[in-house]
Amino acid sequence: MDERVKTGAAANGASTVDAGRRNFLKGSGGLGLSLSLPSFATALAPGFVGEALAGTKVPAYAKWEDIYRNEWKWDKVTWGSHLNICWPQGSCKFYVYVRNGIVWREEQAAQTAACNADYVDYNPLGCQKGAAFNNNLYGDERIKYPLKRVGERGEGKWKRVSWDEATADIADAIIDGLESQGSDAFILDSPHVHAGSVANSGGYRMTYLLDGVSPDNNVDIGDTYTGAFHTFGKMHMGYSADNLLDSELIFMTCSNWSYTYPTGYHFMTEARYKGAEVVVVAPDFNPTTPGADIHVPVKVGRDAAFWLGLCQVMIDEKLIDRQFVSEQTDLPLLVRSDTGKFLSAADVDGGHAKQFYVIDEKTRALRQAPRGTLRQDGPVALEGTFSAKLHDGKTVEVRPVFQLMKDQLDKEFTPEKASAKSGAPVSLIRELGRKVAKKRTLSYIGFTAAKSYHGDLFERSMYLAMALSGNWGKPGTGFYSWAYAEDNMFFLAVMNKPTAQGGMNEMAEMQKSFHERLKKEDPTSTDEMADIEFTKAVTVAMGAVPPAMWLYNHAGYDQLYNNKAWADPSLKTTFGGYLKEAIDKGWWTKDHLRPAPDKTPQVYMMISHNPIRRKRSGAKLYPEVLFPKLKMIFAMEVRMSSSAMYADIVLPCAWYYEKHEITTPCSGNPFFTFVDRAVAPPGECKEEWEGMALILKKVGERAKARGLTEFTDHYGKKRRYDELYSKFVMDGHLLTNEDCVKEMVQINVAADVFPKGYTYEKLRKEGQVKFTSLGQSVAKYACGNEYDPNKPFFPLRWHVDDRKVYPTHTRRAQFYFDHDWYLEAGEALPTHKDPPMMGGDHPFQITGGHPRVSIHSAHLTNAHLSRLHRGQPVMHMNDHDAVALGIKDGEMAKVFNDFASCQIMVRTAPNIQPKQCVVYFWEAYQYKDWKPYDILLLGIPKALHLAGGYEQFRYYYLNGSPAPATDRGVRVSIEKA
Amino acid sequence: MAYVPGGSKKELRKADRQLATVIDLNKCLGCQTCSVACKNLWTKRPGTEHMRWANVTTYPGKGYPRDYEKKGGGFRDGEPQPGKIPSVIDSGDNFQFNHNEVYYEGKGQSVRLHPVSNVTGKEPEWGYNWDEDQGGGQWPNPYFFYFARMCNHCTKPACLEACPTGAIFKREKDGIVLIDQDRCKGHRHCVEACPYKAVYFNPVAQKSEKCILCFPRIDKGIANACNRQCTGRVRAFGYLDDRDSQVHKLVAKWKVALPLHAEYGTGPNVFYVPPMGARGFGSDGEITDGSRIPLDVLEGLFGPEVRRVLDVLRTERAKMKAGQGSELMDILISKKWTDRFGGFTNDPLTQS
Repeated sequence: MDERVKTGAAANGASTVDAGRRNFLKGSGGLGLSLSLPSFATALAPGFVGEALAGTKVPAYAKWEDIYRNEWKWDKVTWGSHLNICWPQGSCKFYVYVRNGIVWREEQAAQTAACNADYVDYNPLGCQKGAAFNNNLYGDERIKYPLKRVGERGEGKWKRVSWDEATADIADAIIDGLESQGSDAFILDSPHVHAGSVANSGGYRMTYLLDGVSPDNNVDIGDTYTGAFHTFGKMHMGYSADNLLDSELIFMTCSNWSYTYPTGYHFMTEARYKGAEVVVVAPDFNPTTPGADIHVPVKVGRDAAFWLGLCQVMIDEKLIDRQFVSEQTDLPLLVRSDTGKFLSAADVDGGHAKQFYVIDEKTRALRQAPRGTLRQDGPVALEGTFSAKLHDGKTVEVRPVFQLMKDQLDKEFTPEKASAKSGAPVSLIRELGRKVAKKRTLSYIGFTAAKSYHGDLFERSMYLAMALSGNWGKPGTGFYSWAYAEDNMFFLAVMNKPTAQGGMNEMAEMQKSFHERLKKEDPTSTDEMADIEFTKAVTVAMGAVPPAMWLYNHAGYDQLYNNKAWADPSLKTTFGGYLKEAIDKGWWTKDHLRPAPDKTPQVYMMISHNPIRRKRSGAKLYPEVLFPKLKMIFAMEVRMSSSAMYADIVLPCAWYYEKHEITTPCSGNPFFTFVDRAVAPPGECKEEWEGMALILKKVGERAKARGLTEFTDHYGKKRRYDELYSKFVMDGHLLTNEDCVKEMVQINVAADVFPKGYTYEKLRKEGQVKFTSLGQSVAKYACGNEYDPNKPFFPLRWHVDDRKVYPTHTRRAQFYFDHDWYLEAGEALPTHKDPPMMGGDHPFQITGGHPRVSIHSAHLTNAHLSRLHRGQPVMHMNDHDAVALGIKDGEMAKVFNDFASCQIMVRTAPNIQPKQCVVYFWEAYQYKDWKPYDILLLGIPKALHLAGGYEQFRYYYLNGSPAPATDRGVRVSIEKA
Repeated sequence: MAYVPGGSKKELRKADRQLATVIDLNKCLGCQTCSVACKNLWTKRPGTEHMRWANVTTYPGKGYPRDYEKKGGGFRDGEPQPGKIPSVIDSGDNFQFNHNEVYYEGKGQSVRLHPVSNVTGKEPEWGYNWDEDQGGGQWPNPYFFYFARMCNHCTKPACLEACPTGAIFKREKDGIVLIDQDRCKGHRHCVEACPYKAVYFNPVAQKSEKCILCFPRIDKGIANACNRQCTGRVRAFGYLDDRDSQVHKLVAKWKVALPLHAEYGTGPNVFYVPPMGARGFGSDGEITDGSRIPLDVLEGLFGPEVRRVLDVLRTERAKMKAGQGSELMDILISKKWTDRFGGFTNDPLTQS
């Protein structure tokens, strides 16, 4: 029945409402005009009261309550959670209620304890998406049967086919690709963890076995902290959410917890009640700011100047922590005035090129800065100009980095100048500079940093402020909540045999060999450095590659990246020019440049992954440039995404509550949560793992039928088609999601992530388990602290308390990059640069990010959740700007730049900064002509991040290389549509 | 069972004890988990789809139902006031979407997924939470806060007074205001009379319905869904006369939780801790010490006590900053989440 008919009696508008009212009023004997006062007065109680009072009429009134009581009934309750990639939080423990064979509702179990009684617990832990997830299972966006395209890509003409037919088509395409282009033909556009920990491992495992290519998802989407990566040599240095409670001053920046971290938001408001001040640094008075004390209204893309203003105040007012700075950072290291390079032993006595120098404050003489520890042998000079005698007899002028920094700050970033550049008021810069120096300070910087062209400068400037004030490596400090223990996912992708058969021992032996080799080469090296080398090797084996080069070579992004009008004017050449130089210098090799520029990708796989939504300008370039090259696009999906609409084959998959799973959490909420199979998946949906196994089995069968036995991997080695399936399932050990979750538990026990002796049965019973450590892979070292389940977690303690060195060029938190490219571009020191005119000379600057009621696009088109807002794309803009353009709230606007245009509804608000416009995520097919706002975003990566030949300028899985996702601050014009 | 069907108004509104909720506007993040929790449990039934018994909107804004503050009802000087019935659109509509047309009808990019009003069949011009995140003020001093609402389970409910069939009553044991669905004849006087517009009409059942404070849960010792599921830990719940409950301490002892529009005269039992607000900028663009939320805006909602409450919050927070501790701040923080619920702390695992 048409919904409108059902509720027609109460329809809006005077005519319909009145008609409805008239009808029922007739029945009750009233007149339509006035229902109000007479019947409202207590004196006019109906006559049957008398009967009731007399006890002559006692109806069975318990009955009507059953309307409601019957709602509070179910057949069973299981554990559940959501494998969304809401990583800093996530892992929420839910009860899942099943009634009549369907999931009817879910509710937070609220059993996630505090680390100890002095801290706030995590409960109830679970947001609006999780508390409504049952609606997704049964929403109209759900895919239930395998679909094969019969019209044009994106046309929406499908034929229902069997899994057998679908996987045979895919298998043939994979074989065709391997035979014609080699293994570079197979692309897993590597997924987020939306499909779950098991599916995620499965995708990588499949790619690993096929020797395919996975453009690194993490870098591709800009979920990186390039500034941290370059400053500290790593970026997974998270804290737990309760760490906020140990802080006195909290900066929320490049983020919006109200939308993106609802379950952790209370730690912020509770820290505020505990006495901390909360400061939001954002262009708009964003939805997190109502919970803050101070809003710092930086202009879009100008954050670095704000932080540098704080640094100037601290130095100028002599508020800095000199010992912290001297030990932890490169600020005391000497730089040659003639070359801009660090003074090294190679200069002084022909020694080690990475042996650097400081000035002994007492003797005013040169002294070697230890490479194996951060501890200085006595006080060192931070200020001054000195001379150094070189082994070739020359004497050169040298100055500590600190002096260079101070000079630059005094020249360009006094509060007045920093204010003019950043938009932050002078009074705030002074007040906050002083406060950071005196208070235990923590930041939460979100991934908007990596989505800003000069976001690395925002970060480096912020870390400088924290360094000057001694604000890291202590309780209540840290920069974000992104550390993880993902050994279960990482190792399941590449293990050769089950843990019980020595699979993890084999991996541990490999790791150990890297450690021993590096230690032999350089006794001052750390386990952390060795583990990075190990991870680099596994990265290559997995086929993970930097995404920028893939997009540049194969998806048409060269036309964006090389557009000179949009480029940073301070760069010496185009992105392509930098790339060529980097390849010529050997910084990027054939292992990174995959598919090779002379190969053509053939098969493109997506796992609950939606590049048409999230790939900047992908809604234009993918269909126009990439997709025509591809012989097969297939999606393993639970819901019809914009990208699935372009697929040749869509394979329907089981969603949360329909398969066994385990969340893989971040440090923000350090708990693994079990997801039970509460109900069977609908239609012909299968677990992704099973689907992948079927594809690989089919590859073996089809190859055999075609008389093929082997293919050649990109190393030139032969691999057998008929081994793919058996290797994928570890000879029958891993056939189902449940098998995989069991294996993951064993991996985590072997890696000390779970307590000794922990079992799958225990997980299944208890539903949740807290980390006991960050495992054995790269995250263990990145955090630089032992995980203590009984305390809030904060990073970098090893460096501060134990003086362990950082995995950087200088072995210290590094604020000066004497790399030629950085020297040439004027970014050797943290500085401020206006964002380039990406998109052309247009008056407005775009910002945006994650929406409130969807994790990426997972929940975006669910009708139930779409009724929590306008149900369609909206762009927030300043009310005065809208008036000036003659656009009213609710009207459509055309938004355009040099590259593309879209139409979108305007939502006006005084809380948007003038000349800013904010758009959160929507599906492409929610826009007219499927031209989403994302089409305007370009995502031009910063070419300097192609730099190599420098310890921390490197790439390994999830880390490093240019992030092709810089959309904040893209220029657009707006007019009434 | 004190409820005497169709009993005198005096009897119908009698309650020995009163359950109350405190909503802390300094903690609310507008996430809608409360409204989702409520909808999922109670208002998916035919005829209830447009209803949001628990709702959150952005303030300043039109609220939910739209312009409820302008629709009359309640009492002035003890006298009932006339009211208007919100339309279904005012009450949130129930947008319909064209998924199948987009996905499967071969129309390609010529169609887009979009909502239509369930009432008009056209592009919606209003719906639930339509003015989310818009707020008030002027740049650089915009301000807003999220405002979660639900039925106030009033001590003197206007709906109860207005009901000609005596179908509305307060449960004697806990003061929950309920509409006897057998007895309700769908007159909707209650909808008009409620000044908070917390009563809705179910056009399928032809009855009025409203928040039932999750009584099937309450009866099992489980806090109601919007309160228990609130991920911002915004809400405290319990008996107002339970001296150990947070609601008692916040409302009666510390007196920092205020009723919304007390002037409506219904004796609401939902109380709000007013928002402290972010500091504003002066006319010179520099930072000031004062909140950017105009005091008169808050007084318009919560009355003249707001100033005192904000002073108390400031003073107690300063004590925390100084390391002196504060019982009030400890309550508002609630290290132990279960402390919020006045003893209604059973797991939601006992069914009716």
